[in-house]
Amino acid sequence: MSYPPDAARDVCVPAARDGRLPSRSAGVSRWRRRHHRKGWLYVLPALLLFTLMIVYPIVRSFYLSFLDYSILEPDSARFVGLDNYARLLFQRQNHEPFWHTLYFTAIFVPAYVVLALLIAMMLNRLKRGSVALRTAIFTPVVVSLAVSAVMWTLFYNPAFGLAHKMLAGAVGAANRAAALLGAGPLGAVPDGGVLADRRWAMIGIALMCLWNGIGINIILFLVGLQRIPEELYEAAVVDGASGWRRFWHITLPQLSPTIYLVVLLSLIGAFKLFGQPFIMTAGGPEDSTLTYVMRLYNLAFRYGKFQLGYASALAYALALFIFGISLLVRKLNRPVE
Amino acid sequence: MAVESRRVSATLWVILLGVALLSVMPFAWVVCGSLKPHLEIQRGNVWPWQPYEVEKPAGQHVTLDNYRKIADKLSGLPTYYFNTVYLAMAGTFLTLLVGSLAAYGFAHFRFAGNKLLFTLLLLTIMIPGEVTLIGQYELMFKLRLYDKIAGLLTAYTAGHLLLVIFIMRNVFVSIPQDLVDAAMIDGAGTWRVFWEVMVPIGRNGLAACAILTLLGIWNEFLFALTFTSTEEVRTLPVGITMLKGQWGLFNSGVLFATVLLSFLPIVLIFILLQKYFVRGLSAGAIKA
Repeated sequence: MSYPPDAARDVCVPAARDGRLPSRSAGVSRWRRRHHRKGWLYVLPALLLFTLMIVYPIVRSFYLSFLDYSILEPDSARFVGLDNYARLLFQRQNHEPFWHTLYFTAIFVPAYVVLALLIAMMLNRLKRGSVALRTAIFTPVVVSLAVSAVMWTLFYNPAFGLAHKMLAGAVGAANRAAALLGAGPLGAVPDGGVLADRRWAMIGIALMCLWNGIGINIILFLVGLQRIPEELYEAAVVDGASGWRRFWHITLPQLSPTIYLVVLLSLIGAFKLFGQPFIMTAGGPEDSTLTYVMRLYNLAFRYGKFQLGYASALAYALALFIFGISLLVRKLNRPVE
Repeated sequence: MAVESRRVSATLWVILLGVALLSVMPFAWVVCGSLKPHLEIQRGNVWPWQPYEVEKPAGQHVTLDNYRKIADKLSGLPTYYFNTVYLAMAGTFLTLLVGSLAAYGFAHFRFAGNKLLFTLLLLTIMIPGEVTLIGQYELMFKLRLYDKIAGLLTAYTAGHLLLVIFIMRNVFVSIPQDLVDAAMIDGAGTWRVFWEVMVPIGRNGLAACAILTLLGIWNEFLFALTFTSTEEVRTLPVGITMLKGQWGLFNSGVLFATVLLSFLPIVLIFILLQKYFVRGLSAGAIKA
């Protein structure tokens, strides 16, 4: 991946054109400059589209984040400095969604990463005949979040949903086990369904996201695992290292770039949670699944006031938060390398 | 040693089989539910071996009525489908074309500002889509693209450009210079080099980009929800949430069938092209 690419070809082509060997003359260098300038033509369409549809909106949102601005009354917009940012920090309606999102991240990301790593390691150990298994395990990845959210709303339906019955069974078994140990019941799946209960709704959404997305992480881990040289393990076996030590001293360090990537992507994805609760619970019950991005969306498009200025501030705060998280993850990842 | 390793791999098989079953079960369950009338579903009789309890004729197990209702145009599903397929195909084509041309420009031409421009593009990955969303929403009105398929097409194409540029730039840079030279000695201009050297050699990379873009557009929810408001321009992800409200309470069987029809094509394509999908997904993720 060297850049600039091999310089030799620059002189080769004009030589072919006039049938003489190239000399480092003014003509060649003019040809070379003209040739390289053509690059602009190839880059231009993408650049125009990108500037219009991505760069301009990014800059515009940044500007809006300092205005009290609604799209309904563009003329009454006024500059308010950092007011929007102060409001987003101090307004209580923003705190709850932030904590809900953090709660979702805390229950979702560890399972999302650790289970994916375990499954990937198991798939990697299977030498033959695992194609059907892999296909089955990866299939949910191609189902769109909206379809899978509607699907799981049915799945969680208290009257007929299979997931509802399975969860009830699992919780019942856990309660019986707890009773054997002399403890009281651990909990119960609500009769009205998982999504209608404020303590369970986010867990239900997290389970659905796990089903829908874990295949991506498994694929990433598999790619990372396959890159680890087999010799390392062979040498470790010769040295008499146990399976656990091989995992701890070879797999984990070798995999650390992949782990970094997966953790980062999972954290960012979790923090942007929007569609699934929007479809499955509309933020309810009692706002218990109202996430940060949903709050942003509501401010901008739902509450009828189209407060694009304030919503822009929320969007930029999210960008800043994600940026901070990526720095943090990068820092934590260092010592493992 | 051999006995032990056989036991280990048997254990792995059992665990993974369990994981695979959990992954596939929701699909199977939706297929079953789509074959049942509403009242039977509400009574919990979703499986095909459970006979009707309240619905007539008694003793029947399954029906295709739900699909008939969808085919009778009682549902907006065909429109949503058409829009999504159109957007996915046109968007993927446009993104690949514009993106790989730019990637070629970045990879093989040393024009002034090449590196700087590329770095600036790289920096924009840090900005989450939610930031662009608000600016783009306003822009949609200014460009008269709000509530139009063309608006979504532009947004999606622009939104997936970076991915294609990054992947394809890496692919094009690794194409041996000798091949380009050979083509140019034969009198090919840069345009022909692109089509006759870059594209054929980079086809694996292009396939990976196509899959990522296709999946991205097929699944996109937030922008489609924000930039459209009428039935005619709804995409499948947004439309199905509307159908959830429309069918969920009084005709859950039709909702089951709708869900099934929404995931069936993409799941079938995935099973057929599994290898390419996995390769594409991993290529994209490594870039990110």
